[in-house]
Amino acid sequence: MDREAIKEKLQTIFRVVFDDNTIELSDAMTAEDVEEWDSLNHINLIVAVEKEFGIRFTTREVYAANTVGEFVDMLEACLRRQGKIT
Amino acid sequence: MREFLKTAFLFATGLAVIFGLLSAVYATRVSERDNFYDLLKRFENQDVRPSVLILGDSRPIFGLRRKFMDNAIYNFSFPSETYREMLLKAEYALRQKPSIRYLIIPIDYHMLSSFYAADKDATHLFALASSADIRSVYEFSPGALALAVLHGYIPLTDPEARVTFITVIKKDVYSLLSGRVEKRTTFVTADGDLVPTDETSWSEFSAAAKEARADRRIHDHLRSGPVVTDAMLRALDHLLSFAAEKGVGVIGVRFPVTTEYENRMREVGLDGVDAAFAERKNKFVSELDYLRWSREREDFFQDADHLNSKGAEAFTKQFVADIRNVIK
Amino acid sequence: MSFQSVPFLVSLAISVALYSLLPQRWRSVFLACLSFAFYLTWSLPYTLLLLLVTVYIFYLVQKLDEAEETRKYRILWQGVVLLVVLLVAGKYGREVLMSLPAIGLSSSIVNLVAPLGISYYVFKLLSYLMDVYAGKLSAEHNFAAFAAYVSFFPQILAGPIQRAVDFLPQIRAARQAQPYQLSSGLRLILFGLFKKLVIADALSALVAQIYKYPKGYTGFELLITSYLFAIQLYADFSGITDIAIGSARLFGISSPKNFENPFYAPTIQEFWRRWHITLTSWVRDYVFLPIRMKFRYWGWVGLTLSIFINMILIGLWHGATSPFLWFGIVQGAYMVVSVFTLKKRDAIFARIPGIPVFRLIWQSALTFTLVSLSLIFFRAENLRMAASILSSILSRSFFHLGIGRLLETINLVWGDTRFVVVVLALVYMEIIHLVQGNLKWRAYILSCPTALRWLVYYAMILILFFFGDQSAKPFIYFQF
Repeated sequence: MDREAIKEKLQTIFRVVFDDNTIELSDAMTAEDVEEWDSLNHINLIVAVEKEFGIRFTTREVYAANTVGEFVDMLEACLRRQGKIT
Repeated sequence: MREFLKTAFLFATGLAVIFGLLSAVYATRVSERDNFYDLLKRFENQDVRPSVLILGDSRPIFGLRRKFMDNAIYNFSFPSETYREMLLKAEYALRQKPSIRYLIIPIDYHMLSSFYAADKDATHLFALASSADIRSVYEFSPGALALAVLHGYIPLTDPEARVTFITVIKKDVYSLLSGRVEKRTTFVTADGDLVPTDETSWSEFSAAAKEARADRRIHDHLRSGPVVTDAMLRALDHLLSFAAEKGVGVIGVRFPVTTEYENRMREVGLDGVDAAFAERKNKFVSELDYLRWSREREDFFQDADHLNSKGAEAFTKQFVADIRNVIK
Repeated sequence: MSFQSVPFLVSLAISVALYSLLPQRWRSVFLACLSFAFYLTWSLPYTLLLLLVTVYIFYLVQKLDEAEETRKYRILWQGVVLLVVLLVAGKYGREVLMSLPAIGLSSSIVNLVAPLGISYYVFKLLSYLMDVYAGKLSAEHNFAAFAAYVSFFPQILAGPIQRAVDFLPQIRAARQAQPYQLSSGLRLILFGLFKKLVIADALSALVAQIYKYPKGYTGFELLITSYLFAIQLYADFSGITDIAIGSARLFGISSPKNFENPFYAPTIQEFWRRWHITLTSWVRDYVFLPIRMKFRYWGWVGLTLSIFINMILIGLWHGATSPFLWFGIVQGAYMVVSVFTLKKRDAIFARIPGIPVFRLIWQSALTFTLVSLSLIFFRAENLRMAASILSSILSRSFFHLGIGRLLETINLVWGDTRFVVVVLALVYMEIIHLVQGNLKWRAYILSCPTALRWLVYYAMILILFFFGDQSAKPFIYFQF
């Protein structure tokens, strides 16, 4: 699975969690750009991603990602580290 | 940046101009109408050549009427004056009128209290004393003196003056809008007495109202701190030694108060005051105690510790007679 | 030296002038020294404490940055534990010591005060420590810049709590303030003083008088009083924040916002996003999110727990007494109910046509009421008083709509002139707040003729001068 595919899958998750089919992910996007994306929903998003990709994040990783782009990079590194992708 | 500094300077100048204008308005509407200066001017009149000078606070000024005093006795008291003001006024008066042989000062129970000690407003006194004298009598630090001078010459820097200013301006605006002239709280009569605009009679108040008013007066006078303070004792001693130095006799007077006031007063421990005055007994030519004078005539009083015009008339007659006896 | 004093304003002006005259590389040193000197005017021993803690964290974080992965965690916890212990000891130590039977009555304990600004600078240090650990920024090697960050005098007394990642680049660049920053900074300081001295202090006198004998007022009057206290708190705190942000701006440094028209928030969640923003976001980022992560598989139990811990912590940050604890619990309850029912409520009301506008007004009014009621815990001296006031408001006496006693008290404490001034000042304050929040209106106002704008500034200064409270009441948020 390459970065684009990861991003695609992530976009689907976003659309489900935030109940909005028009969400289009871009690397520069942050929580401010999505209406439902606040601290309360953030964890719902994390849990959904973890479930969908079959991985577990550390608090530190979640914390360090400020934008969608960083989130995707972090996700990719995590998948690689946990042997889900090569 | 230069533009900014220029703009800032312009802004500050505008502010200074506005402040100057307001100060000018204050000078005409407040300072010049301050009864203190009116009374001071009357004192300075050449024809005034008393041999007995009365100094004190609101009790002597409201409680005496010039009409019943002869030219030998002059009432130079003013509301809220403490021993500090009296000292500076005495120094000034003796310079101006060397005919003075006797000073009459109050020995009421609130004269030594922290209520009076805390009054550091020297604004009036810049008209008759030097900054150095004011500094020493008020025991000002250099900073406090600078502040007092500032308040004296630019009154609007004093928060209390600003409150007065607003009250006066409000009255002026009402007068302008309604066409009526708003009355002042106190004014100087043709005779040169200071009287309140609305004369009341203590007998008209209900018992509860009397108690409440007496309570409030005592609370202000005697319950805001110690009843005897070192600052006031120093001022008193300074005044007494100044008088002795000049060969001027000092007569101590205790002015009339209502029953309700005295009852409340006795609840506060006053032994310290009695002791302080007893210690200085030999510095006084005489002491006249009118604390219970005409107590039963409630219509003589306007509030808990001040006489109204009717009472002042009766009191002055008695007072002058007693003073003459002492001086003989 | 307090913010609303002449010495402060004069020193500020002189400092800004000196700062701009200094060469760029000396500016952070100057700012750090200035901030410590400012702190010194409050207390010498606590200045030493501040210095020690700053030095310690400075070196600790450098060590953390250079350490390998396994050691990083341990160093992090070393720092966190020290800072938390310091904060708890500093803020609550006195109360704890006083409750111990043997030591309790010693007079030297009674005279102890909490170190000034400890809640604020410890939070800054904690955020710095954790941000470096998470890799958001690298450790600072310039001590002057770091010291300036921790002790920055506009922010040390009552925030805003700025993050290192935001502040440090600014202090490193140390750019002199542009003219527009100078004028906007000065305007903000003037506005802050106005809010504090004309509005907050006047309301404080009124509320204090009512709180002396709350039993003498009807439930309805007490409800209004709780609204007044909320407004007082807002004017006081946003006032000091404006002075803080304005002062910082004079040095060319921009600070984060702390308020955004909080009383118009339709929900409790939204309220906390607009009130004391830097505190809420701090607790969210460094407490709520980690705890939420830990409990993320616990479903709604995890969410409820996280919310309650978050709000109780915010309550206790203000003070270690039970009223503040209850404030946190009540806010937690509000939040949980709101979060869990919001979607359903939105769904129900979306179906009814024409409702939206009314709903917005109703929601804001309800939220403002709920917040004001919870703030009774802030104001009442103890739990008993808070409970009695609340029960009075919520009981049958609420339905007596008479406000006679309240009007009497207003007449006693303010008189008619002051009343008019306060009302007009409140309207003015809200207009300015709304303008500040809207870029278009703001641009329009700023493009108005200078003479007109200056008239407004002169009016503000004069009202401040004649009606501003002179008794120098401390800012409420100083004590935190």
